[in-house]
Amino acid sequence: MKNLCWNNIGVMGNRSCPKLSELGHCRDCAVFSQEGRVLLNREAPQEYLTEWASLLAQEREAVRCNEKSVQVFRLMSEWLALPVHCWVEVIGVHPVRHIPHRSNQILLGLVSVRGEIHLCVSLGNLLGVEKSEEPEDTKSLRANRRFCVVKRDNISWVFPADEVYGLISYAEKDVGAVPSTVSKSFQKFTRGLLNVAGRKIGLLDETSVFDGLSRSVI
Amino acid sequence: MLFILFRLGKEQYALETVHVIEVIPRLPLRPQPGTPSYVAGLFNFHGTVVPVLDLGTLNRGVPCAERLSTRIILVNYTLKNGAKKVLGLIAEAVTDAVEKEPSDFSAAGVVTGQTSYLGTIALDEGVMVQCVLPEHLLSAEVEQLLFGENPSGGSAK
Repeated sequence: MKNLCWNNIGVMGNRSCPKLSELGHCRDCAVFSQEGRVLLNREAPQEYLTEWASLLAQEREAVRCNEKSVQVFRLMSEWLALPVHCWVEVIGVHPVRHIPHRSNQILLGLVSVRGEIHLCVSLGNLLGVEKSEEPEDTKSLRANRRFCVVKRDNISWVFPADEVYGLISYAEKDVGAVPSTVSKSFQKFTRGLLNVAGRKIGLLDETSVFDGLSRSVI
Repeated sequence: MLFILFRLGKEQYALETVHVIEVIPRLPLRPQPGTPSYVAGLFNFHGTVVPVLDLGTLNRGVPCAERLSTRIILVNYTLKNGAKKVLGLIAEAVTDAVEKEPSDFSAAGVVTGQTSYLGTIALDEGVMVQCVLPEHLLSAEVEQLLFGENPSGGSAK
């Protein structure tokens, strides 16, 4: 025999239940939750049990925790990554306005992103990424080129990248050491190498990259 | 301390959640001949074979009813030699957990040899709730039967 008081004197009925003023809603009432428990007194469906048995029989996946996310992009032949929290957006190629007497190898000029003026820098020149020797298929390269807007301490920077791959997450234990054969400036800005799908990705150290950018502009 | 509440027949029991790994539905188990009647069987828990006890049979000789609310509580069981194993416990009405202080419990006063797994008693809204101590559930022989290792790889007989 079911006690359906919530339909008669509760929120679904005429709301005359004395407990209602105190509890506010039937779902907070012990009577309601007690009746809910009764639903579990049914026999378990056989498919439900076999499904659970096969689920529990599966090997446990390795626990993924404490992962960090980075956005991966390419400069020349180097795949690099910056933490996601530095990123603002990835946009198409915009015209770069040269700044007379101020532009240099690293500071390329100014870029207007929807009317907002940002400094445009060459991350490749800052890191000392060498031009790849492979003959470049210029057409496809141009199609993949993007401008990346990144931000730190309320200063936004725009840098051209040859390709933006997307987000990946990694665990700290998967970060490999930077080989000593790479150039000195590259070593300075990279804090480790990630091996993702046979591709070596240089994890950039955001502090030294942004400090390096600020220094090159001032 | 948080306790999982369950029922065996009409009586309420509690199990401290520090022992509990997970609560799962009452799966079909593989019976294990030659074991005491309260060993309900074995099942595959992520690649490990886990023995399951029916607390109903152990406590009062009646197996737990097959319902949705009858569930298997997986607990960390420490063998007498210190090794840690997973043990399943079938209990009825495993639907609630309560917060209790150690001071809420008082000694039951009756401790018999077979029921040393039953510990102190507390009152939960006027209902007597007795603590189950998983480390006292198995005797040394049954432990050897369920977890003992012999060269053939099976349980010792």
